[in-house]
Amino acid sequence: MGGFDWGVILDNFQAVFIDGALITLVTGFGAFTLAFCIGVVAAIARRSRVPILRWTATVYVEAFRNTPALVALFLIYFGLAGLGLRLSNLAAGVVSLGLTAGAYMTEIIRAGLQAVPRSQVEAAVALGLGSRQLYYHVWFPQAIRNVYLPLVNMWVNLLLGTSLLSTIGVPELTHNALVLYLDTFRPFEPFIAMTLIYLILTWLSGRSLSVLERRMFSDRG
Amino acid sequence: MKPFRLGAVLLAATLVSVACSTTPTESTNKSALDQIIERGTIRVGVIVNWVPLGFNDPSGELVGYEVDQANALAKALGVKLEMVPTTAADRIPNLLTNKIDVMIGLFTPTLERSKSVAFTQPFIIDALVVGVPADSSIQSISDLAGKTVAVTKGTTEADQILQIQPAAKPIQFDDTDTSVLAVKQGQADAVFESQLFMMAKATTDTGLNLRFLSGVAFKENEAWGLRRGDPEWKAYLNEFLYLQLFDGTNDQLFDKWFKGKVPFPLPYSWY
Repeated sequence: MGGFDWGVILDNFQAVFIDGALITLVTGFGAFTLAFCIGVVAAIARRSRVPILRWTATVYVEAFRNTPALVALFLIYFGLAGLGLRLSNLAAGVVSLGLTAGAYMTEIIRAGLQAVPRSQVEAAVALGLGSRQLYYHVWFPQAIRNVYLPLVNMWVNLLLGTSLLSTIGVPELTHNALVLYLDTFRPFEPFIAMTLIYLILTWLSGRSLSVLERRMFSDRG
Repeated sequence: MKPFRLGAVLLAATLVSVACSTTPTESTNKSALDQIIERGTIRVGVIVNWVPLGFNDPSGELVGYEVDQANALAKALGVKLEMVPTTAADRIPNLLTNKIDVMIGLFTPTLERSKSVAFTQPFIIDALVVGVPADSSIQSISDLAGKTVAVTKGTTEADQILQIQPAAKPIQFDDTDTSVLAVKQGQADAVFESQLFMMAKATTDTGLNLRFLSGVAFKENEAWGLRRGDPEWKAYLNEFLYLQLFDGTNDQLFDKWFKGKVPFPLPYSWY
């Protein structure tokens, strides 16, 4: 087998790489949103004075942090189906990644909430802000700003972590590149193209998220 | 010695020893047959987790139909056997990068694959069949329209199921076990896989209750794979397989592991 044959990549570019990258982005974004929502709820629950809330959140976090993401994926896709709850592979993938990442997200957001100075809360209460306004205008924005970098890391991890979904047949980037390689017996070209696309996606994410950070938090100093 | 010189000497020594320890891939024109005999070991690629070709028995040892064949081959050559677990997707890369000398198990010769690797003459015929849950409403190939079919990456299955039913929806899993699991758990409506594999799986997995669609049987020749450009190794392997068929050893082995007769007896002849 001689040199590289880039024609293989170009012929299939749309179907394999563009469509695959789109699915990667969609599943990554879906999982991130789910993880973020779970993280917020569970972080607040873990700080709650109500024991049952604290306990439930702690159990969830420990369970999903100590289980490999792949195992969770198989349990949700195959295991639940055996019990009667049949999720499509895309749905199972997003739910599973969301739950796994949500556990880590909980700890990140909890740390962010804890790092907001008590004086901020006292000042807000002194100014007459109600509980919901306190959370929305004072506590949360500062919490997010505190842990912005870890959140960006979480996004990049999730984006790359969608490659796990190739094991249940979701047509994302890794799966498509793998199938192209197996059809043509040329490993280098599909995998190099796949790596480049992941690089582009993560680099673009990094750039746009730091621009976003400046726009969101510049006025708070 | 001054530190810089000492460092340079150590670096040179490391590089030289690394260069000497890497095994050259195909730098000689010697046949694999001679290399194996000289080396004293044969590296055989085996598929694992494929009952009963190659799987772990309760004590953790690798056993199976192809394991027995590998042992017989090593014994015939008078060398030690080294089994290299390989997945369906790794078969060709492992051969091309010289990690294995021969790939046994059910390797289907196709013209496309033959551009990369060489094949022995076939020694067994397998059939790809469509398995559905026993209580499924799918009765024929036309019922598969719009249904999900579990297949395995790195095999001929995805293309073939689309050939006979273009409206089917294949989902490609990493290995045969996962594909069968998918249909067992209801995540796919059907599975398109080796009949031999599914027959054997049913003997160990009591929860698996599959019915096979009649009229769908892609008969496939199964052979062993080896690197191209090695006619002597190919001739040796062909003779080995011929003798296995000729003196009934293959039938015995098949009966031992699949509990029955070879479904499509192969007319053997000297190649």
